[in-house]
Amino acid sequence: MFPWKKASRGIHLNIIFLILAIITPVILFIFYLSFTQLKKAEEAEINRLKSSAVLVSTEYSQIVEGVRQLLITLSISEQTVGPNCSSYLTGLLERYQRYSNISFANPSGDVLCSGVPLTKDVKVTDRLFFKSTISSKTFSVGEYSLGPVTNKPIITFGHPYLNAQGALLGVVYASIDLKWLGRLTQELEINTREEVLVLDWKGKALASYPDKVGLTGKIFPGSLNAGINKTIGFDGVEKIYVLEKIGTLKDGPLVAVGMTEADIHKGANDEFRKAILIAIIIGLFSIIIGYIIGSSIIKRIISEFDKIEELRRSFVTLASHQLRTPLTGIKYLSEILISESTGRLNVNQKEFVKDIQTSTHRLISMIGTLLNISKLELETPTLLIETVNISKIFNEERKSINMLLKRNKISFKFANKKSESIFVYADPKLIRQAVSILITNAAKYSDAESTVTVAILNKKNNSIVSVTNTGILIEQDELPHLFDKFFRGKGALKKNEEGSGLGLYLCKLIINVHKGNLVVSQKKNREITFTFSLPII
Amino acid sequence: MLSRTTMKKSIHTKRPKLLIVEDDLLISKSIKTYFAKVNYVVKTVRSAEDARECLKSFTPSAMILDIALPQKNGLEFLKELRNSESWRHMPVIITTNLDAEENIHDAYLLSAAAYIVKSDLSLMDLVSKVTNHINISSYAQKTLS
Repeated sequence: MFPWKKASRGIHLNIIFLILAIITPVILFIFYLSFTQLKKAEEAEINRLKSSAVLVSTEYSQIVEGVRQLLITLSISEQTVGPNCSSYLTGLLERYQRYSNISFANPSGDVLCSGVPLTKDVKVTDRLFFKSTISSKTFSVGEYSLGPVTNKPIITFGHPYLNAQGALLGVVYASIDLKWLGRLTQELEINTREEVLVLDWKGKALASYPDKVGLTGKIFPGSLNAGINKTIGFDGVEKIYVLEKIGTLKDGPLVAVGMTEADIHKGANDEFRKAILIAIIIGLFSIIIGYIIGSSIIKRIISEFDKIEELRRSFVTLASHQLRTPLTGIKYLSEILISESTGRLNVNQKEFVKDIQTSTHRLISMIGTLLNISKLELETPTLLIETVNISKIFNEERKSINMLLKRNKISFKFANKKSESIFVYADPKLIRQAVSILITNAAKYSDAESTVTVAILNKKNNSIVSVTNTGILIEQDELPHLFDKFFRGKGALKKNEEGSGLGLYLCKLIINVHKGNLVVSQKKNREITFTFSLPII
Repeated sequence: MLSRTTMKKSIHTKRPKLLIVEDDLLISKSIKTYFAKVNYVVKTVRSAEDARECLKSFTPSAMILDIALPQKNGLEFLKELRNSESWRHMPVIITTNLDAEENIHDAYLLSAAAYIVKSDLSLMDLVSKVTNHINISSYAQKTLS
């Protein structure tokens, strides 16, 4: 009796919910993974920035090392302090394009020799590189400045010139042409999203990638701490900068490699967005596939059940015929025997034939009950609803239980006027059966000389029918089971062992398919009432 | 409901003729026996095809026709009868032990005189039903011999 048709819509919804329930954690997990990937991707980008910085600083370190080597060589060469030192230095300049000038100054800072010919006296006493070299007595670097001789933007490196005794004879120094540095910087293989800045120790820009006009000499607005800093760059845009020292000089230049957070995120975000899109596509795809598969499985299950229902239906039809045919034969032949048209019967024979008839009648009745139950248990039982005179049915069925009533001197009372005709909407065959069951039960299980009362109450839309009798006591815990299939109460078993336990079950089925409700109530004095309602015309 | 003696009285001069179309031997034997006892001329056949053959030489006053027959079923045969001039007005009592209610409608649509569930009706009631229908049928009255 599973309401498949009604359940079908609910089942489809349930399939969708089930799929969503399975898919949602999976998709959430994909989101979570993608999100952690996002974080990792961002870290990876920053690491890439770091390695970029290291790479670039290494490149520049080599340049600085080159300068150091040159200056060391010059600081031990007699040519540097000799009479032809200028031409010597000029020759060097022609060889190394990177230098703006190579010169030699005495300990007071007077420039004695210069690769670029001097046009006037030049002093470098106040230059940072000079002061650092004098004080540290080792290879030192200065800051961004304009060359005193060339007036070009430069950064100068110095080295002390010592004599054999270790006394300071002067400072030999070389200046890197920042224009050249700038050109070199453009040739580095750098990611287009990265900005590279070469700064002196004070933060003044020496070179940059991409090349910006007028940037050299400007002070970097951000922090110069080594490592990762989030600062606003020269262009006013906030970036993540990785700062790395060039070489091992005290107060030496730095490389800053910067990238906007947006660009850092961009790569990561792209991956994230891709993952989300894939997750959504997978999700939708799964829902559709799941729904299709789920639906077809459900449909197949339903059709299996439908097949079973169909089999049951045809079984019911066939069984009725196969069982009733031989029984009809027995019934008819017994009737012929008892009519004595084939010969007289003695008393015993008559009695036995009557017993055969009783048994046969019980069998036929039982088959009828079982078949009716089977039909009503189908999902869509066929009902032939008509206007039915229910009071008339009660009167007619009362006649069938006359013998039963007479035997125990049970009286039958109609609470309504006998002439009153009450019409209901019902299947006449089924209602007749229900009425028959109820009043037969009442007669069977009543005390001797008691009364069976039938009352029909007319309400606005319904007719309330009740059958009351006084008889066997039904225990409290048995009452709710009275309508169960095959249930037999203890009292009923005692009074009538032969009952099938199907009567009330069938009755309830009948009333239920008419959308009514069959209930029972019992009073302390063993008066029991069965009540049901039917729709009125 | 007519008693046996009353029935014998009303038809003792003219014997009604009955054709029983029923494929179960036990049932057809019992019906035949009972109707014979009340002075009917009874013939029994086991299929619609046999019935057709029988009707060529036998003019029944009424027919008891079972639905569940081998090959052509009773209702189809009834349709055939209703489409023929000779048998259009013959009272036909449809019998069955099947549990298919749609048959009732079909039976009455084909002007069956009655629809009977065999296991529910006694032979006596069957006889009275058949006799009643013969009595009220002008067609049947003409067939009495």
